[in-house]
Amino acid sequence: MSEKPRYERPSLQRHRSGAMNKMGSFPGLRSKGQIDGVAVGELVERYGSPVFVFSQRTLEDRIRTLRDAMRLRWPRVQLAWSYKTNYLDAICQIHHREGSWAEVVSGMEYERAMRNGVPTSQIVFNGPYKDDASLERALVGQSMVNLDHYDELAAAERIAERLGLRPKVGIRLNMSAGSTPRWSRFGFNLDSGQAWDAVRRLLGGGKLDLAGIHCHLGTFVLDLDAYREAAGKLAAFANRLRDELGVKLDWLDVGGGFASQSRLKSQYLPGEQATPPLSRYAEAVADGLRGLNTPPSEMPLLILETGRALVDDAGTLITTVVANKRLPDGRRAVVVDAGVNTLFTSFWYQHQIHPAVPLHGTPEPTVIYGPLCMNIDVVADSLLFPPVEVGTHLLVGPVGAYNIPQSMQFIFLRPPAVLISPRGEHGLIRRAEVLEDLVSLDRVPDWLRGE
Amino acid sequence: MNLVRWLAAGVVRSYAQILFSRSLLVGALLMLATFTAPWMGAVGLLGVSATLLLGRGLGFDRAATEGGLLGYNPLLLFLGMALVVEGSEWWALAPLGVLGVLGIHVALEGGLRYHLRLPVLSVPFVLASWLFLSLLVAARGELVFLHLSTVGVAPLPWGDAFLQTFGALLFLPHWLPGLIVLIALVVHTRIGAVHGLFSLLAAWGLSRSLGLTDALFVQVLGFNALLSGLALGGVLFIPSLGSLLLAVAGGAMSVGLGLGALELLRPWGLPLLTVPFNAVVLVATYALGQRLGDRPPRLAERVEASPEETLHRFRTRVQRFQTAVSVRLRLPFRGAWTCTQGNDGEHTHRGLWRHGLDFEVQDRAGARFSGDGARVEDWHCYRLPVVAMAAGTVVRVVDGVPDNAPGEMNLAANWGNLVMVHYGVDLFGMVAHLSPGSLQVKEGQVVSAGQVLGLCGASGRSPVPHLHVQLQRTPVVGDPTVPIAFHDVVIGDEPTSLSREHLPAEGELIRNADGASALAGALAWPMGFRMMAEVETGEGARWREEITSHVDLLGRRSLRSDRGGVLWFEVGERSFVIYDHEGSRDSALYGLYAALARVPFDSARELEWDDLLNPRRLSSSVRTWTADLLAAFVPVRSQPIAYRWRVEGEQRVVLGEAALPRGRALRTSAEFQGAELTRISVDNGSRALRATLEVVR
Repeated sequence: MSEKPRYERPSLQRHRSGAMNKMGSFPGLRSKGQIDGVAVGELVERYGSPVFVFSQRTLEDRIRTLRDAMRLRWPRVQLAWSYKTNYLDAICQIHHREGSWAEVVSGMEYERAMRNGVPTSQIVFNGPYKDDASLERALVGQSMVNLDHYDELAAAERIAERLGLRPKVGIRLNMSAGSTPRWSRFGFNLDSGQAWDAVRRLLGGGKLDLAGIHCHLGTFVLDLDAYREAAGKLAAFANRLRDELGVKLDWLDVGGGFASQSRLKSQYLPGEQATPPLSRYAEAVADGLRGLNTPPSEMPLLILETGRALVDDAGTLITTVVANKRLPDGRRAVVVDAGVNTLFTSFWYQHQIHPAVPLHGTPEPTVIYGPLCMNIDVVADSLLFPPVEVGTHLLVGPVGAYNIPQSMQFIFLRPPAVLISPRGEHGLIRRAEVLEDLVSLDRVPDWLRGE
Repeated sequence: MNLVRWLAAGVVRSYAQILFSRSLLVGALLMLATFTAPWMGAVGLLGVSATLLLGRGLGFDRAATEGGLLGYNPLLLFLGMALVVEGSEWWALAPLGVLGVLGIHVALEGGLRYHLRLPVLSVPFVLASWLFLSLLVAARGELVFLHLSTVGVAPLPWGDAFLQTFGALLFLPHWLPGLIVLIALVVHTRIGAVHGLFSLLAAWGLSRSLGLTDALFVQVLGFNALLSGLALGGVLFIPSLGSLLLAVAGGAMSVGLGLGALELLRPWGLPLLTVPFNAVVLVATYALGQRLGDRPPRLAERVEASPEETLHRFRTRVQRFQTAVSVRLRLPFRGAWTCTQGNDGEHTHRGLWRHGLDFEVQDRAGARFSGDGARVEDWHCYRLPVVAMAAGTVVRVVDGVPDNAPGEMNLAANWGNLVMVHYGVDLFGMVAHLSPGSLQVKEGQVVSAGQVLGLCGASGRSPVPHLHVQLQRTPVVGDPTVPIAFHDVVIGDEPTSLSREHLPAEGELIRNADGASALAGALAWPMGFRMMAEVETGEGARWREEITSHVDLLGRRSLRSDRGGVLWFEVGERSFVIYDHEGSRDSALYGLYAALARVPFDSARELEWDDLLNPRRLSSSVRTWTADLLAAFVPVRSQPIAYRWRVEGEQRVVLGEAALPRGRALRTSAEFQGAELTRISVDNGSRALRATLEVVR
């Protein structure tokens, strides 16, 4: 029995560009009624809308894929979960169960890692500002502290001297590599010789031991040659340290920055086509490190701080259409219940948006607005989308990276987050905020209370 | 006080050494036997004490003195002296005897050990006795044997001659001392007793068929046969059916040699003493030591506390550490690969090349390539590093053969690009089908284990990118393969198990143990390392024990407890092994032995492995005594124990479980906090021991 064809209202339109090819397919318009086998309707009914949904299976799969790919190419590999990418306890603990250490960039994140049971010796501490108390705790705890600047070096020396310790530390390097923009504000510059001076200063101080070098090229780096070149420069630097100063490194930290399947606003091809697989990143890093001149028994530990590429694809936001509009310029507009307050990454990604049910009708240019009473609240500014009814659920993804830590309590409260297990169980990993969560922080001074 | 204790131990053990024992009980029994003739007992005791004191004064090896090794030859001499001198004459001659026998012993012992690797046995006693008797003859004109007064007992109606043979060992051919000697022998070693008895039986049969008198056999030939059997069967050789045959042959030979020697010595007027025993044992040991190859009867590497100890130590060592390949190899790649063709595989691992192995990489979904696999680049293993399996020298490098497109083969250059490394005396390892231009070593280059040789490719007879590995006895490419196995291999992924020595099978996901574990720090135990153990047993006994780490002259590492006892261990790059525990089970060292006999170093969160323990370390009872009677002749498997670990944050627990005989179970646990071992416990159902450990800084 075939279903009776639906009547569709005809619409006459002029020919337009913007389609992927002459066949006129519109990527991202397949409907997705479920996530890891759990129906979208069931999730919304149980947890409300909007709601972040994480796939444990995808997350574990990404972690293992990267770890396997790197271990096939390097004898000693350690992933360190980049806390700032998503520091929900459950997400962090999935990483730690898979054997990942923690990479943190503030005292708050350091404490979160400790809460999750990470031994302090398995915390990598980066960032341009480590307050004295946090720095001291990390040095005492034998964490891998990567120093960012001379003032931090001096602070570490003061702490070491005061406590009678001789901590092992790393230094962060920056360099030009491939076609990526240079993140020269972090660490010591390698190309100018500043990094070498910093090493001599560190060793000359006689209070710290140099045990590691660290670099982080940037974020969403699609250029594999950048990693090949950066790893090669790190290896050359490590060789020079060994040959000229007799320094044997315990760790080589190549940072993170691998791209996820998201699509930058500037990007023409969709993520599946533009983003190299994790094995290609691993290959690029291993290729670059091949020049490292170290006997196999003294190979430094290779640390990867990959964040986005592991968690982004595991996260989806379910949002719901609350209104349809027609703009004066003729474009259609759709208002949904999650905006840039929840989806911070809308500012730089063209998110993929799938309806939960198949949509019929002719797609036309559509703007998707968030619920904020703010002009900037645009989730997608130009999308070919068929007519959609109020109450339809939309799936936005990938959104696993950065949205949770960067979302704001602005105008609306923040939504809950749910995890789906590989066996199809689901449960909250963060409950929805209630007013009390917010106002309990507020204080009204006495002089405003009285008459 | 220390001197008295040292002297007492040395003296008693000198008696025990007559039966190759260090046991105080055995020594005390033998001493008791000598006192059935009080004069002889007193002379022996005084003589050996004086010799030990002199030996200490002159600064000879204290351990040898205390273990009785310096004392048993003087003891035998003085026991013999009691038969020919008494009273004031003894006092005049004893100092000469002391000096003489000590000198001869020390001179001969050192020479034989260093130059021929032979024990001195009782050769010093024989030589010193002959010199002494000749001196007496010279002084007196003739030799007069005294009639020793012995504890008066009536002869036994049955078995008297048998027991007399044992008594003759101490110059006392009577049943009472003989019985005591027999008891001492059985207490010391059942295995040795069986060997001695067989040897005695063979000698007796031969002497009967030669028509010798019972008196000659009982007083002279019998104990020589007994000692020969004991020494050959259990002390110098590893007990086995072969050593039993050797003991039987030794018994018979000692009769023949004894008869001949008697004839030779007659004109000189010298007694036979232990000449047959010494001659037979030295000749047999030296002769069998000249063999190449490894077959029973095997020489023991050193004289252990008892034949039982020798046997179980040997068996456990063989079962734990015997390997199919003479070099410890690691898998020639990084990360986890899958074996796609094993030994005797269906494609090419046949005939002369049956010991070859092929490897590829599969992803989590089980696919070996991404996309449609039409390009070599699609294959997951393509251009992954291939590394040296051990340290060695590169002897052959072939490069320049192009990679084939998937589905195609290059039969003209069968092995494609390859690297052959010389790993051991007659062991060459080849990795083949590498990618052209990827080779990173040259012929003649020395490589270390894990060093990158080249990248995986699809050159030669390689329809898809893969790695072929084989071992051969020669460096010629294409020569026949020999068996291959790898050490410390991690198999599978959740559940993950570790194999100490592994031959990969088709379909198996395997990788090298990665050596990354906090336990490596906790078990490093560098020289000078100290820890205090608070020990508590299931019965409620408590004590504190100080444990220190030592390295001996040969570089062997051990933990020693202030309660006595030694734990031999070794820390490798990828595993930790305890070889053995010597000493009482009332010690934290026993707990360490049972709970941590082997610990692999790996980053797996959960891991299972197994090992074998020396069953004698776990229990000893009357039952094991009776089992000893047959132990040498039946194959016995060492005690298997299954270990696994769990990691929870900074806490790691190594759990062990072994099924003991008679339905009992042994359970062990070792807890680690960060890089420190904090607790161990062992429980075999009837006996439990728990220890809390603290490192002394």
